[in-house]
Amino acid sequence: MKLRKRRKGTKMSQDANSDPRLEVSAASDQDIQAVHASLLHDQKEPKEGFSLMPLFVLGFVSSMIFVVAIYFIHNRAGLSDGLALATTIHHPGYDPQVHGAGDEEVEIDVFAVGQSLYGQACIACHQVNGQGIPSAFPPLASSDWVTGDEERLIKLVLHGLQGPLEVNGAQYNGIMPAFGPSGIYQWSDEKIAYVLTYIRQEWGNEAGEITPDQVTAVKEATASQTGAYTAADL
Amino acid sequence: MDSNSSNTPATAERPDSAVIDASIKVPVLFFLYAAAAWLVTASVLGFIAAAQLVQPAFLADYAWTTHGRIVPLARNALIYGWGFNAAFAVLIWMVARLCRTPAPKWGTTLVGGLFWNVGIKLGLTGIIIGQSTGHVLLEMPGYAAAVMFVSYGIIGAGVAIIFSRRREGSMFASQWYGLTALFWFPWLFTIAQYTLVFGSMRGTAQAVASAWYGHNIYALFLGPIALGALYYLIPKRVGRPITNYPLAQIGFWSFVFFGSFGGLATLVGSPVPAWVQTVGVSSNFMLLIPLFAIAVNLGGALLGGTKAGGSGPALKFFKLSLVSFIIVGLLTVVLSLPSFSHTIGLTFVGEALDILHWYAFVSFAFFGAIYFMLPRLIVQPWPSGALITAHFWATVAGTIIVISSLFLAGFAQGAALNDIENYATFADVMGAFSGYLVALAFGYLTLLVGSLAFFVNVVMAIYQACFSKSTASADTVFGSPAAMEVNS
Repeated sequence: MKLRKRRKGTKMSQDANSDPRLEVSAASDQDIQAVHASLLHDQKEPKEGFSLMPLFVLGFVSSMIFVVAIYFIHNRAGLSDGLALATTIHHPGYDPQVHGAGDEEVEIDVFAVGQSLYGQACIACHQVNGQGIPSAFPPLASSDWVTGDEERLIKLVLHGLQGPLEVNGAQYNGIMPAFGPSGIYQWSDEKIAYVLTYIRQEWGNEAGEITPDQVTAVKEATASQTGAYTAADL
Repeated sequence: MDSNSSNTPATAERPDSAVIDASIKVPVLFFLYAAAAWLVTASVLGFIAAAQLVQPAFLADYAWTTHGRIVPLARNALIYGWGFNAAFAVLIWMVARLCRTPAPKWGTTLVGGLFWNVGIKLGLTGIIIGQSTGHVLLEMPGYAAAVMFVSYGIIGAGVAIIFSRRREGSMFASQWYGLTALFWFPWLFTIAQYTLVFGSMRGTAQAVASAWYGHNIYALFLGPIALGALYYLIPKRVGRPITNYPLAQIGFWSFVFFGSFGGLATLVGSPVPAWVQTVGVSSNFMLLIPLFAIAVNLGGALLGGTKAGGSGPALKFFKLSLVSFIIVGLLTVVLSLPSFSHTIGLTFVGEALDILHWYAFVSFAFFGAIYFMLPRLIVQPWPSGALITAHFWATVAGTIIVISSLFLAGFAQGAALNDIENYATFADVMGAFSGYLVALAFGYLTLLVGSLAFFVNVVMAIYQACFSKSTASADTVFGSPAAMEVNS
């Protein structure tokens, strides 16, 4: 059934076959199919000796599966999360603007977020240690303005504060910008609440938390306020 | 050598090879012409792109000739123009031959082929005027993709009709690969277009989908058709059967199972979840099984030397194609290991592997198949032996120069990028490998010479077939009509 046996029946003129512009075929389509079909299905032909090939292939395939399985298990980081996420990755209605923060309630560390917000704005004047700069910016640490009346603190952060001010016995005359809707920062009620909670609990201050609802309430109550407060107003 | 010597009742009813070839001659010749023309176009564009790496001011004065548009133009012309047209020609001819079935009609396939090429032209125009989508190998705008998809359906239906009327009972390995590829491409194309061009996939998932498609266009469409051609034409050319045919089945099914994930390995080192990269690397490891099966089967058939005479280029191209297939399979595995990908990730090495896979494996197989089938289709020898020689040597030399300069440039680039002490700025890194880019441009120029030789030869052959008044019978044209399968 080998092709080379079939070839005995053919007569080829070898001289014409040396032309590179032709490609001589050594087997017809029927021969190819017949031979390979018999290789695949015909088990009748007796075989001499013992063929190593099937054994080698079995060993090769098994060892590949073994090695790759170990490799995969060792490097599968994120697979479980990935499978869970796979259903949401391609959702036609998915819009990161809307769904970015996730639909579920997120547990946040108010103190850490407040610290981060402090680092974005307040730190420039009040400094990393909350001590401010003598005769220019008042301290926040151990300041009655910070740890004292909650409503007064919320008001001055929302609308700003300017003019003469006495803190811990020292006199200041500067400008505190507004962080609420009237100012340039436009911070949300949540951001203001978090940063206030932070400054009330850092540097040895031990005052209570301020919630976003408190900020909202003060904001609505002082909606008619235009421009910054002075110390006298408060 | 056909039915004369083995007239069983079954084979006697089957149409002769010459009848089958005549029934598909027109569309296949059209695909060959289109493929050769696109190959020249892509070679010109590829040379311009390489020259711009050496001399950035070259043709940089017009928006449409800037590097950012020339590169996708060259890539799309090469893959969809040359690659797909050649794949259609090889697939139609191979399926018709192995099913022993003449095509019932060829008109619709020709129309499909015309519109496929219109679709590419639309898409390339879209890239030229700046409508590129920005996804690798999906740069063509959506309207062009729609035209291409419909025309692919028409061409594919033609192949499926031939297959459904088959008169040969047994399915040969070539048909497994060819027909699987036929149905794989619409799946790949629709998913990629839906998720990346028309759809809403975002962020990291885009990179995953893009890598998946970009790799599978080689691995699941062009590669299998090239393998099918090798499985068919190597035994046919050398007159020796596949060494271990049952092994071919194991090879095929492991290829089918693991083939589509290999592209994810190109994401190693990029910010996608580690398990995605691991799936890619694992699949490439498992692809060593089909690699082994194919190397044993085809290599075994080739190693015995040919039983037929002749010194044509087909066998040389088949050998080089098989060697490239083995090398690219091994290199893909080795280079995706973290110790290597640390250096070569995001360098020219990725492009070198693409060229090795795509040009040295797939295109060489197609060249060999075309050199084998065209004389049978036109019942005349190739017009010029000198052009065959020129094409073969220019293509082989050009491919070697391009691949080796890309590899060297990539390793130099990767080493420089990781060495902040000595290569502090981007310009320093560029300086580390710019010399290799001159060699790269030279390599592309060599490929262009080869492509032109091939194109001229194909056009002359088709011209002869259409307008030659020669009434010489096959017996006088060919020394051994039996071996040419034209003694109807």
